[in-house]
Amino acid sequence: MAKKKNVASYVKKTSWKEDMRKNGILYVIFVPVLVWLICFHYAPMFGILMAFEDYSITQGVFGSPWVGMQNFVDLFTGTGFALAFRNTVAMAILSLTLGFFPTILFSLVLTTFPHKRMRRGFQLLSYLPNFVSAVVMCSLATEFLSERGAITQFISLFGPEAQNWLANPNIPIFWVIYTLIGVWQGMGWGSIIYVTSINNVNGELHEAAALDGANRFQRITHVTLPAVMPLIIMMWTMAIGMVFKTVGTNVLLLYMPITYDVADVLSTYTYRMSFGSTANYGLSTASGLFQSVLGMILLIVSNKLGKKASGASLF
Amino acid sequence: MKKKVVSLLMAGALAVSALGLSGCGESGDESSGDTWKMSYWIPKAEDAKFYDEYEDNPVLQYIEANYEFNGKKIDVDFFTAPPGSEQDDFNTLLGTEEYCDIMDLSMSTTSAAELYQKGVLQDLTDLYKEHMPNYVAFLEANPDVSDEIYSIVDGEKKVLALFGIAKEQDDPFEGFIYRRDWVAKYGKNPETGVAFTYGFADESDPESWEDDVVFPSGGDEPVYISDWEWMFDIFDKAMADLNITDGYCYSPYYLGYMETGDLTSSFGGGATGIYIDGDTVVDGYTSDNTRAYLQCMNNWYQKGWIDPNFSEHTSDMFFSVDMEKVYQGKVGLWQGRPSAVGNQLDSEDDYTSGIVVYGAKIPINDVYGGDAQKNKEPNAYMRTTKMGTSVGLTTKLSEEETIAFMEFVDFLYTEEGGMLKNYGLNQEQYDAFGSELYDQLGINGSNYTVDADGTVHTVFSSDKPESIAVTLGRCIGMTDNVDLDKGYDRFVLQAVEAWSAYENSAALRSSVQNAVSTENQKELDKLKANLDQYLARTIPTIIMGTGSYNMNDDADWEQFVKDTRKYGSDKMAGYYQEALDLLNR
Repeated sequence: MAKKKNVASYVKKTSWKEDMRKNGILYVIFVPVLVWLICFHYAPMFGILMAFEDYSITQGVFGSPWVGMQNFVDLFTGTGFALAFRNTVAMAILSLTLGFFPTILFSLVLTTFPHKRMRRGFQLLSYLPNFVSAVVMCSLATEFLSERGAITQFISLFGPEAQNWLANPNIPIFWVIYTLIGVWQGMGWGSIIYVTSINNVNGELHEAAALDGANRFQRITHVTLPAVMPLIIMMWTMAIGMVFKTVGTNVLLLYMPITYDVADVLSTYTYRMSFGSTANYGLSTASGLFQSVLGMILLIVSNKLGKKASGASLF
Repeated sequence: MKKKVVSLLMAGALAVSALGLSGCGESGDESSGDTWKMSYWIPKAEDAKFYDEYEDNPVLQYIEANYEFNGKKIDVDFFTAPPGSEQDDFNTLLGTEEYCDIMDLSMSTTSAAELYQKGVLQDLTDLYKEHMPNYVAFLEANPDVSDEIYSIVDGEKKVLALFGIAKEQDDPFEGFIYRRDWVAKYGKNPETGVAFTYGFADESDPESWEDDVVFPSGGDEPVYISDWEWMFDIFDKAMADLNITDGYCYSPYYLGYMETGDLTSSFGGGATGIYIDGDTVVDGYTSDNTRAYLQCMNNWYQKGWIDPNFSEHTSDMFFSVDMEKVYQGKVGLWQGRPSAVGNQLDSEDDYTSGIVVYGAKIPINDVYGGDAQKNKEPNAYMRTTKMGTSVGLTTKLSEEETIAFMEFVDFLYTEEGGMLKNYGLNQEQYDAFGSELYDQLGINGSNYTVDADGTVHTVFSSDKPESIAVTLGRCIGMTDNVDLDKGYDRFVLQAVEAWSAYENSAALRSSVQNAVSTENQKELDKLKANLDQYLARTIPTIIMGTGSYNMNDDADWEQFVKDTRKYGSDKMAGYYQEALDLLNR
């Protein structure tokens, strides 16, 4: 069998001068982005050194004493680390499953909704929580889930005793609440990219499927979903890479000492460990680095798995 | 072309202003002629409606124009942090070495000793004695705080900062308060069994409340834990009569204990934390006093006297009581502020109509624990100290400028300087110098008057922002509040008196905390972070009886002590003991 020729090999090679002449304006547009990337994403990487130092503001990154892995030892041997790590992993898994797919479902429902005006109305309403501050969202959630809150009253109709659900230390109540708050906040906003992608699926495919007798559900499963699958894989892979960074953003506003065992995550644990009467920047950097490395490993693994499963990948 | 030039000029101006805003510059080098110029970083300035820069403060301008320090006039440029970023700003200035000549240290996350060791702060040990006679005299007259000015560097006492110090400890800003109206209405004289008489002599005057309440201890105020428990029974009756089903007698802070003492100090003194007993630092986390406190709290919880959800009123940053129920009039006793005493919570509804709230002393335990935990006055509680903000004089100042600033601060410790700093301009000073701000605020003259008995009345009460803007409130110096008429009504006076009933002698003083070496402080921080997490999880379960420790069981108590010490509570006491020994040397 003849070996497939790489598409790139058909592209005529051009010199950088010619490329600049042709696409110069694009490069100019890219300059601010490049500067931003260098200033805010690459230059600060020097800060990683702080994870291996007893960092002092007055001595700076290059003058602070080197302590090797001591900050990591302090981080991992802290009284709450194991539980915080377990909770972070659990909430991350829930965010990637229970928290990820509602956005896709919502997008599918939205794009198949027949009334255009109502569809737009729903879409607009779904974006709103994204623009409300996390503090307000968490305050609302705290009210709704309190002993006399609306959601608690509703749940009580089905048997469970009225209680402050956020103060319930049993697994997996806090994890689920946290994930669902995330869905509430991000579902509408996250659906934009899927809705756009679904709307761009070739209409002829749908017509052909309909002529072949496919019903609406079958058209979703056999036409729409396969068409947006590369996008779903890409978004999921990116979500995996970011999950350790994003998990726990609202936890600080929702947890309390009696739920530390189930609600404490790496970021809140690090916050408490690092900022005593004096700030321990080394420890907090070590924790951030640990989470970033984990995120990167997960990103690479999930990218590989995605490539194997569907042929689509980020890199 | 013209557009390009304008764009370039604008970009240039932006760059220059950005550079200018990034730090305090080298203003210390600009002293020349007849003026010492220096820069001073403060975390907070006044509202822009008063003035844009703190150097426009009328009192500062008056001093700069009329006094000389170290042979010249001074000109202080103030730099202020953006609101909400005070600590970041302080750290950025330090990190970039763009700090001012004088730095307010209230936002510092680094000790003065460490800043000195890194070459940021000057050693003022010899200079202050020579150039600040009034400051020295003030410290000698206040031996209770004279140790607080020291930092310990390599085992040696050094003065690395200048402090703002108050002539007298400020009034407590909060304390225990209770529903006096419920006690009067639903209680009976414990000796005679006769109902109390009570009411407003004049219905239109909330200050006219009178009653003849007597507590089991014999006085007209609750003094002992047994008095509190007697009150709680009365609160139960009141709530039953008013059909309050979700109320309770006492709302404690959410962790269930206070490291500073307060109610935990009732049980033999000290605190559920580190405290000082004479020359000894005590691990109060595992003391028998803490056990008695927890036994009491568990008993109260079982009886339904304390907020069943106390551990849920929480956030990482602040302690909290159940203010929602307090405002609804469903709580009998809580830790509150002067704004809640008297008739101020009356919302004219079923539960708050006719409310009268009185302040209560921290009670003395006479019920729980052994003899060592009974009948001892509380001696540790959360309270402001005489010590105020401190400033460090950085190595950017020349010795001559340093002396000039020290003389300026010293002036604020004189009678004249103290009046200027705390009360602003008097009539004579206003007439001679004038002040746009005074005119704008309608003062048009002296900001204060002094009665024959020495009582000072200011134009604006101390809770108004104007009162700080027209004085030199942001600058360090002596705080004189002794003779100030604070405008308290009889209820606030009663509450403040009750809250100040006992001496706060066992609290872990800031001088001891400051004397901890940099290395030990790092260890302390690690231990405390872990211990706090453990206790925050454990203490509420002990109080609620849902955890594995029963404080009435000796074996459980010993296990609790063992577990708590595993987190280093005794080691923490050891580090502070080392610091106290250094101070006492």
